[in-house]
Amino acid sequence: MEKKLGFLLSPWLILTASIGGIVNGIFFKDFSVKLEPLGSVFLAAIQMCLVPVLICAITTNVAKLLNHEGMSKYLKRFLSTLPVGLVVSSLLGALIAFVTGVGNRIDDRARNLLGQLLANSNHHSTTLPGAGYAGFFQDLFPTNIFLAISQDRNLSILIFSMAFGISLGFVTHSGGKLVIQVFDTLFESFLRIINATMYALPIGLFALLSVQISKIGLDVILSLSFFVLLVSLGMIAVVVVSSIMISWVTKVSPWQTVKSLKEAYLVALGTSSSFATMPISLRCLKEKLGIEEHATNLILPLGMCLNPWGSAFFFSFMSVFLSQLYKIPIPPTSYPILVLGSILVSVAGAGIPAVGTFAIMNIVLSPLGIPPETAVVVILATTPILDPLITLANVSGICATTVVVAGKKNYSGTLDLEKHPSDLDFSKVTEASDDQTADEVS
Amino acid sequence: MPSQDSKPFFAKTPDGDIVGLDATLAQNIASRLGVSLFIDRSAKSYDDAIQKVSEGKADIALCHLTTSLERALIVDFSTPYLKVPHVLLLNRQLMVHYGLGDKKDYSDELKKEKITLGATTGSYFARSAHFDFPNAIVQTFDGDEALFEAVEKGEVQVVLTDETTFRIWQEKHPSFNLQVQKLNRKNRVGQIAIATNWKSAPLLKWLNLYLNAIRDDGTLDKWIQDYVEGPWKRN
Repeated sequence: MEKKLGFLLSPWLILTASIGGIVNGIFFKDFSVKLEPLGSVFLAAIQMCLVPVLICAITTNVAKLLNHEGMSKYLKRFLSTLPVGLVVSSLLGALIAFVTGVGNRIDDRARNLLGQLLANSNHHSTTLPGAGYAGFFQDLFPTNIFLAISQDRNLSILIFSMAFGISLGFVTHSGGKLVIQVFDTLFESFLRIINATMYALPIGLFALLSVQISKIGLDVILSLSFFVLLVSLGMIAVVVVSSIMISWVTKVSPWQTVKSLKEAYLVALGTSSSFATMPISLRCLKEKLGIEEHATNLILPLGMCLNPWGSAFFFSFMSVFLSQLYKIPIPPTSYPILVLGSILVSVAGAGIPAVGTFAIMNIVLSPLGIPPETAVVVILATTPILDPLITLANVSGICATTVVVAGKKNYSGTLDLEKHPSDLDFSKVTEASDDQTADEVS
Repeated sequence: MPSQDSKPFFAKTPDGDIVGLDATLAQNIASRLGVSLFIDRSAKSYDDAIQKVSEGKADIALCHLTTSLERALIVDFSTPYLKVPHVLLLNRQLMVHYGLGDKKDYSDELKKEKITLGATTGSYFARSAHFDFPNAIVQTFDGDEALFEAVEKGEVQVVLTDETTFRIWQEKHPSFNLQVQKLNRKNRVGQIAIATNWKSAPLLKWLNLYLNAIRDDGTLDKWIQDYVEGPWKRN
C-alpha cells in the first residue's frame, strides 16, 4: 500500500498540484469555488489530531527535560532566543510602515473601498470578552481544560500541557514513567494518522489553493497594492533570514534549506495554518535536515504557539498603517506598547488563520487610541493573499528557531530519552555515529 | 422647503430642477389639487419652514419634517408618510476613548459625558439633542454636508440624524465609514409628515385622504422604493 501510493508523497507531484491549484483559481473561478468542501475535508483531516499532538508533544518532552540537563539546556536556549526574534520582527514591521508611510499613501479610491467594506461588515469586533491586556492574561489559564481544547485556545492548552508535563516529571512513582511512555506512544500514533492524510496532500492543496486564489478580490488587492506588496516583501524577508539561520547551523546552502522544507512551506501556503504544518515540519527537520530529534519534538510545538515572527511583523505594521490612515500619531512613549502589543496579539492568535485574530487586535490598538474596526476590514480583505504568506513566514521562523536551538544531531549528541528521567545517566549519553546523520540533504 | 438640500427628500439637480421624494409628492399634490406649484426655498431651516407655514406665508411644509409635540403647538401635521429610524453617528476615536464597542445604542452612556454633539440647524435633532444629552455641547450646522464633514473630521464627536440621510451620504462617500460608526437608536423612529397651518383644516383633511389613497394604490410605496430605499440616482 505504502509503496503503491508512495508517488502521492512525491514533492514534485505536490508542487505540480499546488501550481495547478493556483492556475485553476485564477482561470476557473466557478469551478474553484465548488472545490471548497473538498478543501475543508482535507483541512479537517489534518487538523483532527493537531491539539492532541500538541498536548502529547509538550507534556512528554517537558516531563523528560525536568530531570535532564541536556533538555533543559534547549529550553533555556529557546526562551532566551524567543523574545529576540519576536521583538526584531515586530520592530521591523513598525519600522517599514513608518519609513514607507504606507498609511499616508492610501488614495481616495482605497479609502472608499475600505469604507464600503466596513459598511457591509457585520462584525461586532471590538469589546469582545477577553479583549485587552487584562483579558489576554485572564485567558491564559483555562477554567476547564476540555473547554479550552474544544475552543482551540492554544495558549491555554500550552500552559496546561506544560503544567501537566512538569507535575508528571516530578512523579517518582513508577507509574509516572508509564504515563510518559503512554503520551509518547499517543504522540507517535497521532503523527501517524496525520502522516496518512499526507497521501491526500496533492489533491488537498489543489483544492485549497484553488479556493483561496479564486477568493482574491482584484479590486481590493489593486487598491491596497502597496500595503500588500510591503507585507509580502516583509514575509519573504522573514523566510530569507530564517533560511540563512538554518543554513548557518546545518551548513547547507539557504536554497537547499528551502528545498528541504518545501513540503512544510506548501502546506503552510495551502492551509494558512502553521499548526497544520507541525507534523510535516517535524519530519522535514528531523529527516531531511538532521536536527536533534527530541529537542525538535519539544521546541517546534512550543514555537508553533509562541514564536510567530510573520504575525508579529504584520500586526505592528498594521498598527502603524492604521495610525497613519487615521492620522493619529504614535508618541515615542507608546512604542513599547506597539511592539509588545503586536507580539501579544500574534502569540494569542498563533496557529489560527488571521480572520480569527480581529477580536484581539484591540490589545494593541486600544491603548494607542486607534479604532480597530478598519483593521478587521483590511485583514479580511487581504486575507486570501496575505494569510498564506504570513503563515509561511511563521513556519519558516519557527523552523529556524528550532534549528538554532536544537542544533544538528551530531553536534548535540543523541540522548537516550526513552528511559525514565530518573534512570538517565549522563555518562552514558551516546554520541551520534556519523553514518546516522548521513547527508540526506545533499 | 429649506434652502439646504436634504437627500433623498429634496435636492436641486445641476439643471435647477428639484427632485426627491418630497418634490415628487409636492408636484403630485399640486396637480391633484389642480393648482400650480410654487416651491419657496427661502426658509433657512426646517424650523423656519414650519414658522412660515404657521405665519401663513406658505400653505404646506413638505420637507423631510419630523413630527414633534413642540412643533405641533404651532402647526398641524398630516398622518406620517414615512417612518425613519434615528441614528447616532459616532466618531470612531470617541468610541476608542470611551471604550465603546458593540453596535448598540450608547445614548445612556453618552448622556453622562460632556461630548460635542452636532445636528442640522433648526432640525428636530437640534432640539431633541438638549433633552437627550443634557451634558453635551450642541453645535448646529447648515445642511447635511457640513454636519457629516464635522463628525468625520472629529470637530464634533457625535451626530444625531436619521438612517435615510446617513445612508444616502455614505453611499456617495464610503470612506465616511472609516472615521464614523453608525449606531441605531433604540425605540426612536421619526414620523415624517406634512405640516399645514392651523387655520387650513380642510386642506389637512384633504392631505390625509390623499396620503391614504396613494398608500392604498401602492404609489407611495413605489416612490419610497425609488427614492428612499434604492440608491440615489439623480444628480
